[in-house]
Amino acid sequence: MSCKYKFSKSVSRQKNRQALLVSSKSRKKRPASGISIPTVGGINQGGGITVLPTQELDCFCLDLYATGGAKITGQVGNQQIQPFVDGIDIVDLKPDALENIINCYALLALNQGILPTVGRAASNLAFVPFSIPGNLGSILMSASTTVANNPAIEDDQLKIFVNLDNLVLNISIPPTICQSSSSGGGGSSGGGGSVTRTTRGRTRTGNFDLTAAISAKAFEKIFGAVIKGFHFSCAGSGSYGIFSASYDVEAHLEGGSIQLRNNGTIEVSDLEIKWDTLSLNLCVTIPEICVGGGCAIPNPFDGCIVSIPKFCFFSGNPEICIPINLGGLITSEVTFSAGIQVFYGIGSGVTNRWQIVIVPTLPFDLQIIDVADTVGDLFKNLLDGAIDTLLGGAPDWAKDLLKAIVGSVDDLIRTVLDIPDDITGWLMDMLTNLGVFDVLLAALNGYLTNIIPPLEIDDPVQVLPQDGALIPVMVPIEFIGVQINANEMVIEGDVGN
Amino acid sequence: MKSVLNPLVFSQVNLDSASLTMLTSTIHKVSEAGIYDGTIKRGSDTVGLFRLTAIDVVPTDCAKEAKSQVNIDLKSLDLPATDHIESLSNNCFQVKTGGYAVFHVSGGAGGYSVELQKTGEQKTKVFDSKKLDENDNFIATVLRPGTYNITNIDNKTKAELIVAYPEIGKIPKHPQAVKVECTPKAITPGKVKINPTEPLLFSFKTTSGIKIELTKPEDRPKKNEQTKTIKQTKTQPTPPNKNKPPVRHLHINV
Repeated sequence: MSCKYKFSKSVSRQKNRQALLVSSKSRKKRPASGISIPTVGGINQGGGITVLPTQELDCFCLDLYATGGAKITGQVGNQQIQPFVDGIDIVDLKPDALENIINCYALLALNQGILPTVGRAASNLAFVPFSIPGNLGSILMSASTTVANNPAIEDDQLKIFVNLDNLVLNISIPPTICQSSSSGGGGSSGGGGSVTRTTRGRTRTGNFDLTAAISAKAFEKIFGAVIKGFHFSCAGSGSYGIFSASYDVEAHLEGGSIQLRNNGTIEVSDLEIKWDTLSLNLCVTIPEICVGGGCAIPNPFDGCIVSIPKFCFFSGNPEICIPINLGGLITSEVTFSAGIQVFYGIGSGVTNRWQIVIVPTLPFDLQIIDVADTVGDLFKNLLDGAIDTLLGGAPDWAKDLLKAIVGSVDDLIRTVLDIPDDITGWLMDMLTNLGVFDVLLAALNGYLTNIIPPLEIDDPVQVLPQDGALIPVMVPIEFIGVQINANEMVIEGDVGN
Repeated sequence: MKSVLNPLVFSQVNLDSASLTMLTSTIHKVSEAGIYDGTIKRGSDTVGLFRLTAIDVVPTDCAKEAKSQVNIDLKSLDLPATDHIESLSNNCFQVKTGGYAVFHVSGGAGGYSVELQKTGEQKTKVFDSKKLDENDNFIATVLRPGTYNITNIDNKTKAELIVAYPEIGKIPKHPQAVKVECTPKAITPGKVKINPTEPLLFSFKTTSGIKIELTKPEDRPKKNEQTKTIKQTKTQPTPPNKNKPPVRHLHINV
């Protein structure tokens, strides 16, 4: 029988090509105690039970040395971690032919049977840490070529360094509507069941079984993509002073910077709120416009004997409505900090799972950086237009007459509508009072805590899928923890027994 | 209910004391105590009836206290013929003897005239808004800017009225009536210049009927629409100056 696996005594000292397994020295093993084994003979005499002569067994150990390593194969987008063993030596096994045969079979079983499967599982973990359905975006990760040894086998660990080359999230979450902000609850669940979030501490000490670190830069890409998925839509109404106001708001977020901090928080700053629509419809009932009421026949001593009856131009107190769209005219930013929390989700109808979620820390800080200088003039023009609309159908001279009675737009703003000279400030007060900023931030909070799907790891997690009659290989996850420092976010885990 | 503009106010340009509208009213001095039956007409049709009591002392019915002015809205008394008899008893006004009944129109197209007859053994017509005399006044508010002829149709005397074009800041907040006197020989002053909301108060030294007719309207060219940006166009804001303090800074606990 020939064997294509060649044994080599030379052991590579490259970090990714190290001795994988070293046995203890040979020693004479004693039989296990407490096992009921016949003590005498061990020979089937007369068709009875053959009893092994346990007292006479020679126990021994074999020293086995193996050399191997791991490499990354395939093109970016389809890269695989390929662990391999390229040499096995069983010390002092005689005859040599037997040793060669065993070595050959062992190499065959490892390289063709066991290690490729392990490699696929490790590859999935490293290059596809989470899957994104095709219509929701794409993620591209590749093995780092700048790290000296990648993958590296060191400190009893297999280390793989990957770059997050590209992340696109076309999150098709419908725009957050204002009424459905922070609704609390237990978090998401897949498969139609529900998950109740609990917290679970670590019971072990020492090194973790699994460690994954996401660099600050990679985290910024991920979080930035998540933030870009926020779209907000809200319509509401209220009153402010003598005005009744309705508003229609649509906004999304852009830009901003994300920083991981040593205190374990994430600071999101200068996140620009893009007001796609910020429409206000301000309606106000102005006093009835009437003439008359003067004195026709005065009382020579005091007052008036006969006053002139009044007549009015409208059938009641007229209402004027000013539609103004401030979208694109307001520059505003939001800054907030957030933490990462890990929950153990107890599933009902779904598997238990670990959930890693972003939890914003209140309060949010919203700054109106700038309001276009044209807003004041725009408001006046729109008010003038609203009066024209009110007087629609009247001849021009009549419009001029009524405007002359009411006064100039400035007079109307100041005396009738009671709006201060700072129209911009007044509008911002109105938006604040109507709660437009509140509902946006509430929606952002709800988006981050409740709508964004948490990063989830099933417990137990499937390492190898079912293969014919072979059941899937499941590994229990005893603990997941997350730490943040200025450089990276580290996810650590313990595999259960 | 949404308030709507009353277009009749602007369409009634020519005014006539014999055809009262929202822009005109008539004052009649009720010199003698007594009960008067009022008849409201549009053209030759009777459209309403009412009763007016002029009293020297507080009466026992009809009202608690008489005043020196009673406003009688002809529009509200314009009722179907079947309701006229009932209206005569239900719509009972009172005024102090020597006080004034003011006939006006609160809405609608108007076109009313009004007569008062003193009741008693012999009914006597004491007032006809088509024939105004020294016990009466006629009030007209002319809104449409332009030049008018004022004509006393009883003696063909005339005067010229100029209504200025309305301008912001030039309309008096509390306009005072501009007095015009009609005598057998003239209307004085012969040329009257007013602002649109200033009422004309006619007094009479002779039987009169007043017509005010527009002869030359005054209009102004429309404002150049290009100078007025009514329709909002989306503009790109200038990049904000980060060194500038924010317009608004809100800490919001959501």
